[in-house]
Amino acid sequence: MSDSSPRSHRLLLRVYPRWFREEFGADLLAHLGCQRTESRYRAAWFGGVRFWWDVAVDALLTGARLRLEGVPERWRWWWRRGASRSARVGDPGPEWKGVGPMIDALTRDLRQAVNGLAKNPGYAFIFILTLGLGIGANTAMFSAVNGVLLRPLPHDDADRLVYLRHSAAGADAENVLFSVPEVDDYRRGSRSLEAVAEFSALTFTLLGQETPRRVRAGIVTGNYFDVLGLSARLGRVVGLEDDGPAAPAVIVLSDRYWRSEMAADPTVLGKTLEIRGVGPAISATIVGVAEPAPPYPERTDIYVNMAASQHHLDASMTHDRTHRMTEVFAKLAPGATVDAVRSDVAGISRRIHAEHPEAYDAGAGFQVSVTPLKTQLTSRARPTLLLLFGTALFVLIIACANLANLTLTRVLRRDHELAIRASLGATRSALRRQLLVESLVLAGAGAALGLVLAAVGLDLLIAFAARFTSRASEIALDGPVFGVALAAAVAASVFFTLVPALPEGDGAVSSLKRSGARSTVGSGSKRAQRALVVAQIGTSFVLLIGAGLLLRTMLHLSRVDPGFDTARVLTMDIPMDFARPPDAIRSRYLAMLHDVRALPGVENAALTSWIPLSGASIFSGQMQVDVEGHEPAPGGPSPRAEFRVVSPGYFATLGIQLLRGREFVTTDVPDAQEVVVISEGMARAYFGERNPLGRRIAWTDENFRFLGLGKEWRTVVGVAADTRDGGLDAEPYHTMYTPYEQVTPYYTGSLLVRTTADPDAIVSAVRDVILAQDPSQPIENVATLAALGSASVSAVRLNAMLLSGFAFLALVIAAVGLGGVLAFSVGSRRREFGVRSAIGAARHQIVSDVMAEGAKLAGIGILLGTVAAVLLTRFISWLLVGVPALDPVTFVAVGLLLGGVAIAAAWAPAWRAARVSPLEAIAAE
Amino acid sequence: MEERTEGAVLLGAGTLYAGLQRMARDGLIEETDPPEDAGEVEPGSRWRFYTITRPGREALEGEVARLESDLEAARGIVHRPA
Repeated sequence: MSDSSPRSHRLLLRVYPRWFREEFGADLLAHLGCQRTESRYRAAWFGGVRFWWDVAVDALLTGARLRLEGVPERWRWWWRRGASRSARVGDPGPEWKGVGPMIDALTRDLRQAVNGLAKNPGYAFIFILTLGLGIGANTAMFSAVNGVLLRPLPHDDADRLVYLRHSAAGADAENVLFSVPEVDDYRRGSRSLEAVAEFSALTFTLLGQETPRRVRAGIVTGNYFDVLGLSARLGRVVGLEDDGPAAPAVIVLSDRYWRSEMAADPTVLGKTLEIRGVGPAISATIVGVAEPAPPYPERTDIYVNMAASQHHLDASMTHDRTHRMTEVFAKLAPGATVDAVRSDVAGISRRIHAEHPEAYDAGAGFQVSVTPLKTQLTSRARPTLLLLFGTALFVLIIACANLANLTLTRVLRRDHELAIRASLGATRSALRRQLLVESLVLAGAGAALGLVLAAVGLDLLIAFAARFTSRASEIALDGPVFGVALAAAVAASVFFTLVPALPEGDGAVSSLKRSGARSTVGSGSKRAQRALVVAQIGTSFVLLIGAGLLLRTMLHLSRVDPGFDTARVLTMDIPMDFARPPDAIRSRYLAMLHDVRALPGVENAALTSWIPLSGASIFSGQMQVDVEGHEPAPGGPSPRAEFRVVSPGYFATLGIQLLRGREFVTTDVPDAQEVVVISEGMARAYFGERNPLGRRIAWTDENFRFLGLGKEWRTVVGVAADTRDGGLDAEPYHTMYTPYEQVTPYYTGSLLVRTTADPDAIVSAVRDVILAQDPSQPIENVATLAALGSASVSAVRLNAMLLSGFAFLALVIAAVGLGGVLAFSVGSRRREFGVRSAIGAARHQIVSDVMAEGAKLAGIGILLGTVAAVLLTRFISWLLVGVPALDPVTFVAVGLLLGGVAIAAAWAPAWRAARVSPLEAIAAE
Repeated sequence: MEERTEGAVLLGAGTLYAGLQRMARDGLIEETDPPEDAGEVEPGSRWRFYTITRPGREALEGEVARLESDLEAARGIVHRPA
């Protein structure tokens, strides 16, 4: 075999059976070499494409055939190809039976199809593009749905895992977590739970590597990994032997952290690191790396046992019923159902609420829900993904309708050719097969394009899904996904060959004679075409309404006044080492603040416990307060307020308007009168029209007891305007601000800097003055407030963008469909238009005639679309902010848009109809 | 082949050699030595020579006859007066 032949040629030979290669291999290679040179010489790069297409089809078909022939006779009962073609000499016609002749026929059909399509590149182009976009959108979406919703979890016995959530609806808190005594109650009390594992998250600083690293740690009980059915990929996981205060502290790395931060180094096992959290530092040994699994309830870098966190060993953690900071995962007992657990848990809740009334404020509505783990992992992503998947499906439907229309039109245009074939003895099934092969070729190309588009779009989709689910990392284009695309393509092509009616036998002949050079259109086909166009327009209308509503939501959010000025504000976290004494922490923070304010280009700066719009803080949520002179209604919820600790200068830095009183000043120190500033909404709720200044409020939430915040009365010295610092899509919360120096400094840790120019330009200067105070100070999450604001609505924006993209696609496809059908209709009525203009019809009459036809189709489509949209928009109402689901503005605007596009699409065919010359029409007779 | 049919019939390499192999197996053609008028055949070159056998010729004539009768039938349909 010639070694000088390209590797690709030699690879191609593998298609043939060995005996054939031995006999003809060298000849084939020589032949291929000549053919390739020749085709390149003839048509440059396109020649290359053509060469490979021809050669691949040829090799696959002949190779398959030769290999089948090598199969022993007794296995070939289905092959039945007869001795050879020579045996059929003199037959009236070939009998297409058995696989062998079928491959022959298929080869011929395939070549015919490619040649036919090459003569009609516009049709092929539109077909492949339409199907490619439809399948691409679907494949990408199905990849996401598959990765996030359908794929089984890596956990053993994943179906038996449940997640328990403790909520307090009355206090507007969807997750208040559990205290250790509560977990013990549920663990002991439920017979339908086999085991209950605890997980709580803290941020630690890890020392012992080149640089101190901040990590998010999951502090877990010894049974955590066993309950969740997860094992170690290296070393071991946390086990029962690690429970209890006497056990040595151990670290299990998450797979992600091990790979990204430790370069997947297997020698990290046995290494000792120092963990700094709240309290004294603790030495801990790395004992293993956990197998990859979706992190829940949050991204976790390392897992440690209880002994690694002093806080978790303290009596307040282990014995205080209201010290809630634990997430609970549990495994069903064999044979138990989730419903059984729910009723168990409800019974236990009732009992402990009765036994410990002091820990369960009646108005807060404490409640425990039980959810299968898989459902919980995907609960936020499910509706969004299903919405987008549904949208992609709509696009595929529109695309398929359009493709059916294209095929129909093409078949009708080829009426003549098909009639000739039929009269020459081609059976209906042979014609059908030819059309099928043509469609298969196109559908195959469309599916390939779709896969390419899906692969390109997948990165975007993963980033998008990561906002809603921890399983986003599992999204990948894989076997099943490819199968879906392929199935869609095959189903589409089979469908398209069944749509058109075919000529047959005498019918074909008579149609041929009757039509001469003209083609005729049956009223059935015409109706089908029109129905398809109406369906496309209706479906597009629904998608456009969805996109319109989301765009209006986006517009609304961009106009929402957050209550503060987001321009030119730099934000960052400067987490403090909690091991230091509070006074040292406080003076270090104040020194940093002082230095930052002194920087040129800094207008103002402040410390805060909460970076607006960042959506993340340990101390968020509504905390219980007492308002002097305000008695909550019996059984009703007690007063609550959002907890914020801010330094003097906070309101000025953010540009929050002070409506009454004063902002905090440097004399609001521990020994001075304890003061607060409350938000406008809170003032109105508890003081109505009365002046709130001088009134007194106390933080009374049980959670503050562990963090050194007393229940003493604090005097209201100011009222600030309401802000939406928790998110632009939420209503302003009741908020109470407490001065930085009058609480322990554990809460603060974020810095806001208002600059006179571009805030990004000052980042390094700010960093320098902070590091000058303490070179080991971590500085994290540096961002401008404007960027945070934009990120906080990015989910809405992405939804709107994706839906708009799909809707635009649908609009284009529908416009092409409408234009195509009208063009075809005009083409088949040329004679009529010619005659009409011959007998004196004015051009504008003919134009308006065709336009009216288009308007009628568009009108029916819009009407049906409106009905469907009215029924369907309620399913996206949860996504809408500030816009009703039946927003009349959107409906009217979309109707006008679609109408306008329809008129534009109808214009070209109408104009052509008006220009048919009478002579041409009569000459054609 | 391509020249003779003015490009209307293009044979892929696989089709060509598979066809040759099948025809040889069925005894329609057989491989021969180079004919006298083939000129100097370089050693190692990829030329192969086949000759048609008697059964092969009979099969060919039969096939031509079948095609002619098909064509006749088709002409009859197309040219039949309306």
